[in-house]
Amino acid sequence: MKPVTFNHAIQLAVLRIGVALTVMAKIWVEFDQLDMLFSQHGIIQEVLTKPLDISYVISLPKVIDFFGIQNEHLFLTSLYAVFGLAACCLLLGFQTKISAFICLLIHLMVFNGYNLLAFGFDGFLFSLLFYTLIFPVEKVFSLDRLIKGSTEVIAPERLNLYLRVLQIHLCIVYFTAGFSKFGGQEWMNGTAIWKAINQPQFYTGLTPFIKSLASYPWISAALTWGTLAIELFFPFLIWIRWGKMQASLLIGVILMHVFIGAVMGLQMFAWIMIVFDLSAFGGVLFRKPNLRFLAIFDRKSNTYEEKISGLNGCGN
Amino acid sequence: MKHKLLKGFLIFHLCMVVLGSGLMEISENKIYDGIILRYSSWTGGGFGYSFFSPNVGNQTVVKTYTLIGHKTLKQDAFGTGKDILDCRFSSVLHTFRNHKAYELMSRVVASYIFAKYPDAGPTYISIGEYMPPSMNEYRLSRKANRFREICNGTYTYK
Repeated sequence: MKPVTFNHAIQLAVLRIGVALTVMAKIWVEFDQLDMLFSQHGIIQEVLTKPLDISYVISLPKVIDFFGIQNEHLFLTSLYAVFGLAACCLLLGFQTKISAFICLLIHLMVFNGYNLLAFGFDGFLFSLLFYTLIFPVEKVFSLDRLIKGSTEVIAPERLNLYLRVLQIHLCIVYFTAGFSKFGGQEWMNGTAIWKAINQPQFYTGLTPFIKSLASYPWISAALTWGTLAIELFFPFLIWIRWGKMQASLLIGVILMHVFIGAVMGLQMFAWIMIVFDLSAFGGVLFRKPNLRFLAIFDRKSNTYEEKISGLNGCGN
Repeated sequence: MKHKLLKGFLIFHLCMVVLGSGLMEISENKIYDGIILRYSSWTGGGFGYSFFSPNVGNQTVVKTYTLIGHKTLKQDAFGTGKDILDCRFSSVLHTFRNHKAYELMSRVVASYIFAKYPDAGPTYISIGEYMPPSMNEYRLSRKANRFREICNGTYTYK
């Protein structure tokens, strides 16, 4: 059977490092506003958090209530300092599992406590932090590996399983996003991108230029339908090995996120999606230099499999 | 065995991702929704992924006009995405789109305004949508977005 994608253990390192950088960026932008965002005296006060409280999950307001914390400012600052430290450790791959657990726990508490303030970005960070915790991300380019002097590699079968989960999840995300837009009046008549770039919240330095371009109906329609086509067809076409189509598709979808980040100012969302894309399908970009190994792998030889896994790459 | 268990769990996880994504309207059952919500609250798998759909719509913004010290009128806007606080606030504004929620948001904004300006007098809060010009209008005259008020109120701190 011919492989449909080329998986590489480096994708797990991309996941770990990308997620750690995202957490650090989140802390950087939120640190000055913690009291306004996540305290009971901030923009979401008890009048809203209490009725929306979910009983079965740990959340920030619950922790504050449980421990009877009076100085919320000190608590939030300390919590984010721990969050930042854990993200640094995760970036370097030092005590990776513990760091990933701390990052996930803090993000989960904030997310569940202040769900009203959450963006799509927070949901994706949540999912990827969960994968960072359960996948063996410490086994690739990490200090943990260096300290232990470990030469152990992830078995190709396992690596394929982990990456396949990321790949299917990403395909579900794109297809759902495309499918839910399909039939919407603005998406069908080609004005959705025009409407989006006109929203004041998405104003950036590039907005006047993009608006002058998108004010031509055919350009707006091309951008709108291009977005819709990428979201609807990426989940299917990315599995087909035909020339450089997989790599082109991946680059296309990354460019779409770069456009969203640069033109609409949604840099955090764009970044987490690029991390998701590269950790799921980044291997297709390495396919060309490793064709020799793929050919070897096709022979189903155990000896060659060991060699390939030794290089931290595997076909499937 | 361990591998099989992990594989089983990951398959279950992906099923929850599909069910929670909103791709399929399976049921209105509260127990079913509760299971998905519980799972997503702990693992992050099972959120909806329907961004800007079925339409992009217009952006909701809150404008406030506050009289300070009986002589200065201070204008503020919320939900315009100028910093992370404003972006997050915008997220709250777009969660609910009904008159009752707008009234509740107005009170939240009023409490913020009174904390921000301790000597504030009455504050007029206007919630509205920004309507973009047509492409033709923009090409011909660079016409700006138009603010259409949908809810207002005046609040005083006592």
